[in-house]
Amino acid sequence: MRTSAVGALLWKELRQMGRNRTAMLTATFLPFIILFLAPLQLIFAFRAGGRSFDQLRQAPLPGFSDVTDPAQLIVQFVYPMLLVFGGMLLPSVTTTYAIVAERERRSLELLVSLPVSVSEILASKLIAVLALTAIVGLPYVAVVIAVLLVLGIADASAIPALLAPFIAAVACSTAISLLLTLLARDFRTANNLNGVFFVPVLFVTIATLSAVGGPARTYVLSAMLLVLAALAVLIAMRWVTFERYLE
Amino acid sequence: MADAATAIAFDGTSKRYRNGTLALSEVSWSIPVGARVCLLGPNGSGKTTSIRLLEGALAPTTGWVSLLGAEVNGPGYREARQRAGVVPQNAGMYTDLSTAEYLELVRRVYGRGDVGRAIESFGLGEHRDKRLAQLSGGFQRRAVVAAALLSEPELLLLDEPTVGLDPVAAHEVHDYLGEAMRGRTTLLCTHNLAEAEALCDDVIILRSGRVLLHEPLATLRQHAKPRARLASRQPVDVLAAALRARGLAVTLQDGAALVPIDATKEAPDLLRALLAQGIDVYECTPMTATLEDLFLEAVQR
Repeated sequence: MRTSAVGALLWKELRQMGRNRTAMLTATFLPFIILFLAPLQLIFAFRAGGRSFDQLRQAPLPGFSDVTDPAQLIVQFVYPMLLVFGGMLLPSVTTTYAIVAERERRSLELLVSLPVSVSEILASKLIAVLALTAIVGLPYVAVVIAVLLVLGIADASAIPALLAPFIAAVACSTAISLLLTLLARDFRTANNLNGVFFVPVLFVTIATLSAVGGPARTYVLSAMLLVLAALAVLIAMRWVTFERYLE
Repeated sequence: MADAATAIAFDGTSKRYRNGTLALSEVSWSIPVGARVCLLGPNGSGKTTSIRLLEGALAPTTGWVSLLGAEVNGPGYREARQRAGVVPQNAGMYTDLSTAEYLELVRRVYGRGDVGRAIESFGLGEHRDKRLAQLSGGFQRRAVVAAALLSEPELLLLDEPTVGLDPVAAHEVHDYLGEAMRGRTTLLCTHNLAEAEALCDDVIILRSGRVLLHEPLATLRQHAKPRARLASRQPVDVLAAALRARGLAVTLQDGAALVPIDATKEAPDLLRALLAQGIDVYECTPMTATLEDLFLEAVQR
């Protein structure tokens, strides 16, 4: 794979993405709610809750016997779950659109007529999606983590522990969207398949966060999501491929 | 493996798609550097598959394909591919990229070329900031041809460059192609036989994924049976009946009769006989076989 070719294609992808209202709206509106409003509401509810959280100390949630402090519950379970939720939702529509649109408007013909490989085309699309996700999502996450630190709900060790599942979820969602989009015949089918796949990933997230004890929870979850991402990319590039789009 | 003097080579190449369709069946052909060759064939004969194999977008199921001396997707292929320009078949146009941006993308991918000059050369100045999808069919095709030529490639792969265009737009694109093909190795896939005839020297005819014929157009013409076109004042049916009575196979075309004779040798006797029979023949034209005739003859063979 040549960086010059990927760079040229990336220039095109970013230009197109900036002009796509649907992709921009999806990329900014949903994360604002899931990654910003919801966690902030949760944090301030926790601050206002006071003694009502005593119940948690007496009867911990199933799988969370080690979590008797409500602050820990936010940092080790609720907020990581929202991060995975947001990280999974954020890039899926954009990834699907970036790939399927080339096929539906038959502009893929223009791309393959250039001296670029299929892997360079796909790499540029994925990098563009990840860049957009990072630009939109990371500031929200950074603000929420800063609030957690300032209010004393989390310490500095929470920064990597919370960033890891978000980044892993974005990678996993992008990779799975790539695979499902290559399998799907059109935009709608690809989006439906993405939706179907979203549910088991959320179950895996909740199960992992419940089953693994201590602060390692989010790291184990991140590792699992990254393995899933690697598998999806491998299957997409090796067995599914772009060829079906050209048949 | 092909040598440096071979621009394009297919050797025992087959391509079977995932749905089971056999698009190419063990084809072997090559064209030398500098040749201008048209790839003819009915729909589904394997023309576009051949172009996609050369682009490296598809991989052959068996055999190999080479471009400018390098096996496709093998060592040296990327460099060879940088020396080739491609006009894809009836490609869809971007709704979110302007003409200038599309050409800038092509310049960045090839790492060379002058976008401003290409826009000027192809008369795209007024349309440089319009989205590609907003251009008329003729200007869209001009933009794609400009993109293929932007990097001054040594080799051109043209896949149905004028399909779907109105005659005026097709004529304009022909003019640009005629200029662009000068001094360049060219493989032109087309349904338009007049286009092939005007732009190419050699012809390869594909049918059902196999090579039916690969010859210089001039040689092909030599094999063609001579014909003459006759017209008379009487209805064409009367003329045709008289010709058939003399044992000639007659084809009717636009109120005239086509007969398989060498006009320079056989026409005087035939005309004398027809006139003596009371048929007022006022036209007898020796016909040069068109590529369409040769193509139909080869495909029906």
